[in-house]
Amino acid sequence: MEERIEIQNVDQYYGKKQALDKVSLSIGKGMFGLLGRNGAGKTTLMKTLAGLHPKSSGSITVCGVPISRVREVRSMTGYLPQEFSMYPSMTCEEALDYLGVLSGMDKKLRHERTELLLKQVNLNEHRRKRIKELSGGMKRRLGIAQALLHDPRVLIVDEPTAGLDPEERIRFRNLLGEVAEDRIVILSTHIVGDIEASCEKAAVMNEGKILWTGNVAELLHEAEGKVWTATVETRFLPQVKSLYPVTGMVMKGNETVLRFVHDGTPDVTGAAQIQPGLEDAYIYCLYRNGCIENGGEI
Amino acid sequence: MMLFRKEFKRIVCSGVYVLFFAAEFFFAFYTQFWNDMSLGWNSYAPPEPGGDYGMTVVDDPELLTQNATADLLQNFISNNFTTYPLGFIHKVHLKGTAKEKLRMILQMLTGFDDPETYVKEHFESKTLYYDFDTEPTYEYQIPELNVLSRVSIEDFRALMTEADKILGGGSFYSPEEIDSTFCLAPASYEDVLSEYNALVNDDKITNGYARLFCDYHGIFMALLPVFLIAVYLSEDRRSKMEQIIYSRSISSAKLMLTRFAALVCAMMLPVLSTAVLANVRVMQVYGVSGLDYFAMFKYSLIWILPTVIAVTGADMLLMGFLHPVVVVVGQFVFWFFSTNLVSPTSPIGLFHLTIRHNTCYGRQEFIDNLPIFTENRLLFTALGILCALASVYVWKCRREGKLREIKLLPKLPVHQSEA
Repeated sequence: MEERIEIQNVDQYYGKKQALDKVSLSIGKGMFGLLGRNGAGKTTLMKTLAGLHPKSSGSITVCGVPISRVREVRSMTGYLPQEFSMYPSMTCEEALDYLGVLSGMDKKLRHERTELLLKQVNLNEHRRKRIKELSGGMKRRLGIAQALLHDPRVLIVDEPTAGLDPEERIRFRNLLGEVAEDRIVILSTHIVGDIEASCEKAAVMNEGKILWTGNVAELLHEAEGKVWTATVETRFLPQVKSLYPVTGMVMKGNETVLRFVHDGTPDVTGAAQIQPGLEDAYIYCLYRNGCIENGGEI
Repeated sequence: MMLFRKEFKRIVCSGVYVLFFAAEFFFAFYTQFWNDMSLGWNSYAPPEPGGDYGMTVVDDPELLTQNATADLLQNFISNNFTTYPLGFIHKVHLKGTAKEKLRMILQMLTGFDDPETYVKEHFESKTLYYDFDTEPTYEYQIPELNVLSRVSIEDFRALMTEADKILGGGSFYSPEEIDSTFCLAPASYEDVLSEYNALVNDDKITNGYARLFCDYHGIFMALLPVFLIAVYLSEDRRSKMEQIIYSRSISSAKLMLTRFAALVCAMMLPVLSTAVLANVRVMQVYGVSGLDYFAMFKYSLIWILPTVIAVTGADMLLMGFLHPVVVVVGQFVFWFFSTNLVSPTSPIGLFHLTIRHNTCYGRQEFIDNLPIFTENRLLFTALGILCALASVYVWKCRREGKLREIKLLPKLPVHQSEA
């Protein structure tokens, strides 16, 4: 069966508000990043792929199966929602066993997979700890274990690193990288660093639309020659910010080293081109698509 | 079966279940059944000749027509009626057309052209009480009225039903209450002995006590389950586990019907546990021989189980699209009015969720009512199962994001809106 998710012209409405607007994507094996601001429609798309939201129009197939065959799609999909927990009085082991039953797994398989996954997510020592006793990072790791429990061909993770400390974030990203070897993993996030560190392919979403999709390297390539740096007196900072989307600034006494994006040559004394980072490229993508006013606060 | 075991364990190990069990044990069993037997409220020994056996409802049209008509006449003259619509006490003072209609009914029953004036002028009276701002109320010594010489017993009952309607319902003249209020006579030794013998020989004692046991449990089982169901079904969302569960491959039918079965079984547990204790209590009083040891369990299954099925199914369905607090309040209101509509001696109605039989005696009455009892219990069982099946569809829609909770109480915390 084809290891690919095909999304074509998908619309989704909440009442009169359009949450997804003609979304089309083709996602293959490996890590795929979905980048966008809060409220861009990422969670709606993730839920639609997990069979938790109906689409208004368009078509979605998951590994060749239309999304309307929701039970089949669910059996091959693992989902880690943005905000989640589990019954607080259950232990890690009990929670996984319960969810394994809901996935129709037999006792032997549940036992084996629980064993394996608790080791993989480094929770083996805490297997008899109650959910209410786990830290935020431990809960996320247990979350990924439950999503992988039935060995799905597709893993959908929605904002998994939000609120984690840097060490836990790195550990989590590495874990996703490991499991992405033999399945489709869709990582939705508004943290550019997560995409940069783990995804080869990505898409940028804004207001329910896909602004860009392709290799992450291409996004960087498109921003080449569009990212600038300049040192300006701090008193001129508001003027520069009103003209160009600023992606970074470091204060040094009464001067500020700025980093900003612009299509042509900026009207800033001493401005010089620099190599774009993915964050610059993402902002440039929003800027180029008219999602950021010509200048002003991002 | 594995899912059933897990859901059942999740229910019975929860704090709210402990409270449910304790409430059911305390209110439906300990303070009612157990206390009744401890206090000697029931006479355990065979009746002795020449004793006072209390009053009993008799089939005596003369007695019924005389007492009921005299009472109606008395209240009409003082224009002060006490009724209990929906279980609440209500004072009725008639005027205009309603009073005229009642006057006409009394004319037909008594033959007096002007019943009010006739009674005041011809019958002896004594002052009953003074109100602050009204005339003193008199009680008249009303003689034999010979009602049946003017109307047949069927017409009499129809006129009394009409009088009840004029008064707004819930009066003692209603078909449900008229006999037990106005047709009472001292119970005879033979009657009481016959009842006792029926309890010992036909009911094998425990069958009689099982009806009393179910009478009490039936009242509380029509209400208490809603609290357990509300907490149990909203736990997915409160624990932020809803989306994780909904995204699994299990069918909505299997998930919801297993939860339904687990809830019903868990709720029957306190009933069946107290049935064991009830058997023990009966054995302590009557000895161990000649008892039907399965009676409490049999009656629990045919009497209480349908109530549990109906309440569980209906509440699961409603919680598919309403906030749990709304369902709890709705269930409480329904329970309050439905239990107040039936008195401990009310006949069984087809649509009565709570069936009353507040005595260990009355075997023949129960047997006479067996057809309506059976219809009632089958109706509620079917209703509960239908609701459970409908809840599968409602929860399936909810799971697929096609149905959202109706926001009657948007700011309550149990069902938070999703980001």
